[in-house]
Amino acid sequence: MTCEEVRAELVECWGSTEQLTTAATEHLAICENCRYEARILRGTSVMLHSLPSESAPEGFTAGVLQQIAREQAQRGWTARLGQWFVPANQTSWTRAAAVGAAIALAVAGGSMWAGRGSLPEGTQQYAGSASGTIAVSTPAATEAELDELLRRHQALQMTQPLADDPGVNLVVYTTK
Amino acid sequence: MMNGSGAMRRSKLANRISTLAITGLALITAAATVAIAAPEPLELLRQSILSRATVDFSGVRTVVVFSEGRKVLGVEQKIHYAAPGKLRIVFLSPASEQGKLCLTSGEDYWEYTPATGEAVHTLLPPPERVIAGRLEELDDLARRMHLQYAGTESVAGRNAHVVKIYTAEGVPVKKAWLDGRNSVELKTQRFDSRSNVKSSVYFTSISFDPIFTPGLFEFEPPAGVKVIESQRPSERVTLDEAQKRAGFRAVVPDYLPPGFSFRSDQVAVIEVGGRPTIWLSFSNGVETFSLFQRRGSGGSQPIEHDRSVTWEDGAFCFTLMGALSDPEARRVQASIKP
Repeated sequence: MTCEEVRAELVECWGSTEQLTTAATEHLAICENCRYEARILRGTSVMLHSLPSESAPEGFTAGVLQQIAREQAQRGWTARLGQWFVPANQTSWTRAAAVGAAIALAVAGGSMWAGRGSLPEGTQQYAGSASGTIAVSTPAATEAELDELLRRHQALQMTQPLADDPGVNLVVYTTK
Repeated sequence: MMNGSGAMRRSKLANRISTLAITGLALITAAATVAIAAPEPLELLRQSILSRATVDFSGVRTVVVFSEGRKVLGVEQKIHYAAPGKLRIVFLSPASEQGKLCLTSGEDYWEYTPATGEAVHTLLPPPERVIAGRLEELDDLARRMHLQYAGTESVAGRNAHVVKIYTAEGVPVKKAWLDGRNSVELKTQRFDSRSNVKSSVYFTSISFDPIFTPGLFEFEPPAGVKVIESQRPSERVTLDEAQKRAGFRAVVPDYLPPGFSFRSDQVAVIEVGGRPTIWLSFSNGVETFSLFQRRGSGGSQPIEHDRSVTWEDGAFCFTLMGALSDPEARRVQASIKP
């Protein structure tokens, strides 16, 4: 097997010798240059995994939304809103009703936003009602409940006849 | 002449006897060699479980996790083990994992994550009971699975027996490299139902003559660390008994991945969010997955959390949890019909 072929395999598995073919493993045993290549790739992989995940800068989402709003305003906001709710072939009063409904929803949504702190933690708010706010979609379980279930499950996992130890489970269960 | 002929016959007879004796000896030697070269895989696995009760060691190992055949994470750990059941694992790299600690000392199990400032304390069954239970279940596993001895290989400079575990359908589940002298697992690989490696764990150095400093297997949460107490181990009962206690019928998935079976005598009823919850477990002997079922709360938003998915269907809320691959988890989830 040539150095080029071995390096192609190494790149595929980030220098980990675990996934190499027997021929490539044998080549590594006698080729210092390819071993060096494998070490560099493993180091790069470890470095990449240790980098914190990037998030959008503060205000990015708001900026994008504002930009969209400006562009829509330039094209006539009522016309666009009406067209969004009701196709262009509908009568003008239907369009007016749709825009009115949208405004009513927006007002109700605003009051819902203002009263956000009064809802239980973890409840998501999507729409308003005459009486104030309603929750239309809630998570099926809290994070604390799921953490507790995970700990129970892992304790059970440790009792399996051929199970790995908790140090392995801790890695496997936090990686997806 | 007669004497000469008799001597010749005796000589021929002696030749035949010696040939037979040599052939017999050769056959016995060959059989003995085969017996030595090909140990019984079930016995090797049994010795490996027993080694947890008798063998101390210290070493450095690598844990690699794969998804759909591609590497997603590699972690290096320093590990100390004092039989029977004292374990200390410290994460060395990558930097994001550095300093994490797993520690078991008798029935206490701690997980400490410096980055989050949290330490989780869980009570485990006594290590002797865990080892006895594993030995008991190994026989059951051997009846359901196919075990194969695959020769010897070198791991961390030591000679190791290789044992492969397959489902009855021939799907690989686990491959273990067991130390030739004391049967400690030097390397393991686990596979998904498509035969891709899911995880690989292997020592890069190991010593079976370790010196443990006093207090190595003790853990005192540092000042300011939030300690989370986990629930005690759950009592396991039959499915019928669990349904009576919970007050509703459990839904068992129609589909299980190859090699997995439902443990109908190992069902628990626990409380989650103030609601009785039936906990079903499914095992292939190497790993498990759990299905938690409780009455729904009207929540409609499914949640994916680490290795679990939670959703509501009809009157019930389900949480499916375990180290299943995404396609396997989806297939099991789709087969849960209340």
